[in-house]
Amino acid sequence: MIFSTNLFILVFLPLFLAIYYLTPQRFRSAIILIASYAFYGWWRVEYLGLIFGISLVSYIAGLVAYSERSEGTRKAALWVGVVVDLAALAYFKYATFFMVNADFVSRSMGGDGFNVIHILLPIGISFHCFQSISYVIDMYRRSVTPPKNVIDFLTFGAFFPQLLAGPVLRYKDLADQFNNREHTLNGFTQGAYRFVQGLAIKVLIADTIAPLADRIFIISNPTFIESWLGALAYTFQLFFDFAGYSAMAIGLAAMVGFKFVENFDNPYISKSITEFWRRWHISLSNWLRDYLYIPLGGNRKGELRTYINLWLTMVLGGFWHGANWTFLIWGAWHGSIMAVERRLGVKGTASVYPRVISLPLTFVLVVIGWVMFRSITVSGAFSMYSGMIGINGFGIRPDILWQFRPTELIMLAVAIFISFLPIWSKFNLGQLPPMIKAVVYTTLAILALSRIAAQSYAPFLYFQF
Amino acid sequence: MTLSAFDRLTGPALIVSAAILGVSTLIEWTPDFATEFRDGDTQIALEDSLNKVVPIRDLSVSGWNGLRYGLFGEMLEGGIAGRSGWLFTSEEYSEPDDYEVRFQQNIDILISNAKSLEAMGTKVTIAIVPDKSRIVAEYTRHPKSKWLEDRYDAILHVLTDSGIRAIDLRPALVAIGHEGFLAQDTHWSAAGAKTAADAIASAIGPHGEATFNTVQTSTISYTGDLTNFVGAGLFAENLGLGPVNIPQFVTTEILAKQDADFALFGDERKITGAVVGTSYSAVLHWNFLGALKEALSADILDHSVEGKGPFVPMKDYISNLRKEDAPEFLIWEVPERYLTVTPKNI
Repeated sequence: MIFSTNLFILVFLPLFLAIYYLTPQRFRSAIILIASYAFYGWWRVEYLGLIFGISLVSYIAGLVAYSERSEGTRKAALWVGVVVDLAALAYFKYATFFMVNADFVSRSMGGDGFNVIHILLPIGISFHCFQSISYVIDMYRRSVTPPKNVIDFLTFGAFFPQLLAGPVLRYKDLADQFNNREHTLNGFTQGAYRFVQGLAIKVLIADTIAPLADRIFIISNPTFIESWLGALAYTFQLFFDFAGYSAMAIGLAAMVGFKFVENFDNPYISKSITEFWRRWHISLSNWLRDYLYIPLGGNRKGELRTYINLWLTMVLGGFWHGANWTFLIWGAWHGSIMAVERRLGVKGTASVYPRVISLPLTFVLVVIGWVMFRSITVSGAFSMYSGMIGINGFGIRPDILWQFRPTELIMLAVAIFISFLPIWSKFNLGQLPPMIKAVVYTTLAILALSRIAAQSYAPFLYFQF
Repeated sequence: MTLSAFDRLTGPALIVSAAILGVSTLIEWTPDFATEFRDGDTQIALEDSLNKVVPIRDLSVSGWNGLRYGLFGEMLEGGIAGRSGWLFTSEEYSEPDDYEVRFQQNIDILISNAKSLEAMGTKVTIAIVPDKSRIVAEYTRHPKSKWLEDRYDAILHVLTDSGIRAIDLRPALVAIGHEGFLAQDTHWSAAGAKTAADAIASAIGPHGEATFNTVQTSTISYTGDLTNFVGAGLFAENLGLGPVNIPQFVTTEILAKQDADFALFGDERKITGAVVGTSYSAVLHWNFLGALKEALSADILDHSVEGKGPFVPMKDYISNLRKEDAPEFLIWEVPERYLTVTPKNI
């Protein structure tokens, strides 16, 4: 089930909230769990067992890792939990990738190749596995106390606001909230506002820009303007799609009293790639820092090892996004730049680049990375790069020009304005007087809902991660 | 600090409103739970059926599409808005990546089918229907690529060089300008169809001695097919996309007195001609078949089919044709855009 659908907004959400608030407090986690399994099962009911199984194994491994006295047993439980989670992720997400590449290598060397099996990728598996891994590790580290009951943990693992596309939650951030959270009308309304905000930016902005990006990325030899237009369109489509989804997740959680971490902080006004990763998909970069970079040694093993750890963390972070060479290269791009910035002394400074160019330079580096991220193949990305440096000519060709729609370009301009407005202004809708705020959010809700009713389905971009 | 009532109650009000809309939707919804919940297909079908009965759907579709067209001249995928309310199919502008390959393949099909028929003794004439945007270019907003501009000439040259008779309909249709096409429809008007038929007859001469007469019988209220690509629904008429009156024509044969007297008992007369084509020929509103009969002074059977492009009807026609039934002459009506674009419902 997707948030930006009639089924979710008009049927599932009101029904869930009604049942939730009519249920006594002590049974509310169970209600969330049932609703979450119904939400996930709406995609493929036969995959519910997978989500349940990963959560159960992680729960048991975490309990053992926390409570056992023997360090050997604790460590064994840690390994079992992490390996099972990673194995599930490896099988469903990466097995086909490795088979395809092994087949290619075998045939290139004159062999018979392999029989490649295409495995369906369960939606949300990447987020679910990362959350489960963080739980097992935190239990081993004893940085969190075990859940009072298995229902609370299963609910954490399957919690529908974040199950499909994050934020990447950690149990320790939510543990206290299962038994101790506030339900107020004001909190509920602020959550509804946040949900509407996310829905509006996804449906009205991201979904309007999407066809522009899609159209240009399939052109085999785009010109300079065509390729930059496509790259920019995707840059803002991705941000408003993903930030919109995160805002909806945060809003939904708030409507039932949970406080989620923020996932985005105006990432396109960053003045370095290092800063960018403090503003983009914050929950993921925190996860990568705490469960990959630091266990690899972080910056504790010398300068060279620091750069390697940074680079490796970003490469693996890129690979987490998708089983394709494009994601690996995208991760390596960011990791390399971050290593260079670390070498130039980015820690503790506003930016390592000259002040005048730091923001535009960082933005261009990010856009270049997004082209690789979006492209289906590495060669497709380089086709776009060729266009971006002018190899295929400059202007927009007649056979492309007629396909542009004014609303796509207008929404792209709106997206650019909203993204860079924080440079000059700290305005946000929350500062409006209550009545004006109510009118604005109600209007956005009506516009978004009518747009959903009018348009065909457009999937979230981070959907199958 | 006292919280505003808006900060407390707007959230619940929004959810209650959604719930009311949801209940209204569920009342109208007739889900089909007959299929199993496996592979996600049932869920998709259920959601699709639910989406169709959301109370605000028609108003939303009409509103958003009407706004986009009214403010920006923007159509849904498949249509391009021109000037002064003229609409065009995007197929006329489409240039697939492999258009040169498609062009060659389709030209080869044209030639091989024509030669197959000629081997059966049928004289084939290919009438290439020019893009509407080519004939009424003054109503278009967007330029085309050089390749698209040169496409019509390219078709004629290749067919002529291959010994296939191909008719250039451009001069005749340009001469009658905007009267030759319907502003908000893909097709030519009855006047355009007659002009095309007359141009074909001028090129190949009469093919019989029969006399046909065409009269206007009525006018009908007609909504152009391209208005579907605006999708303004409830607001269509406000945006100038409402139905227009178009004349309807009927063509009948005028028999000489002795032929009329003996018609009931006379020998069956063989129909010597055939036309194969698309909706430009198949749709009776344009009376292309009647105009052809009148212009060529011969009776003609229509084997055209709507919505399948020009190649599928011809393939079906040839596969069912016996040599002894082959017509003396055949007009193959081929819209130029289908040399490089495949119709959407093929």
